[in-house]
Amino acid sequence: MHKNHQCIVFEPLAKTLYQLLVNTKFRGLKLDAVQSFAKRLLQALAYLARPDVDIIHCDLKPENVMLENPKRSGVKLIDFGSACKSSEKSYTYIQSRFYRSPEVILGLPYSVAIDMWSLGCMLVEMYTGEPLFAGSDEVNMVHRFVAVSLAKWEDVIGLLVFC
Amino acid sequence: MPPDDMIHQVKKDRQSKFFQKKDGKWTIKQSHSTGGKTNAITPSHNPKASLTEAIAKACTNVKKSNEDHDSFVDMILQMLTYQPHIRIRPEQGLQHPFIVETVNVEPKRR
Repeated sequence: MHKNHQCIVFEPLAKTLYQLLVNTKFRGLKLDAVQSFAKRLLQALAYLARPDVDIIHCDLKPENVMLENPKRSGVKLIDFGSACKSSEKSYTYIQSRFYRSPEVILGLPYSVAIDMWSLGCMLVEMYTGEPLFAGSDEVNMVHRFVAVSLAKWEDVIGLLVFC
Repeated sequence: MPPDDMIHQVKKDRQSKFFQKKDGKWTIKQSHSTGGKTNAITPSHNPKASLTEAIAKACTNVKKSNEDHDSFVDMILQMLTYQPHIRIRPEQGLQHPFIVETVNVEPKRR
């Protein structure tokens, strides 16, 4: 308590991965840097997905990942303001558009897997410097998915068998 | 295209916002919002090639051609799977070659 205000104190962190991209003039980072961010964020998602934790972050993007130290690659996932327990989902309009998963766009049931979609989008952006799916609206997002055609090889093979 | 079983689960009003059925096959609805300039969307049948191309295209100015991003693209494709239930899970991701193996980066970027 400070002067009758309840205060919450956080550790100081360096900068967000978005600011890091700004510093590269949106040319992106080297792959080894992307690898260490990927590893740390996968560890974070693995923790969130544990049955006894079971939290969906719902807003994974470069703005919400911060470097612990400006000279090192350790990162922390921040801003759980949109997060929810997967058993207590209250919103259908979640995730920032560029990182929004197909199931959320299509209004289907969602799970912790939506954070993995966002992570995939975000890691490509960290590497190339540009958002992978910079859709102007939800319809445009789906157009962009289809243009890069995301499916597993099995699905592609399945399609060929069908034709 | 998202798989048919996924499209079938979408509520009708949303379904018609994104997709249309032509000759018994689901296709993407072409956008009207582009102001007459309708760029036809041709779905790629080779996700790996198209994602690699998208990455390479974005990297053209960045002199990253020496970097080997095959295992990166492979991991990304597993993260960007339409169906949530077959999308890679975090603990599987931590075992992926891109995470486990050393990434070869040229010592100098330019």
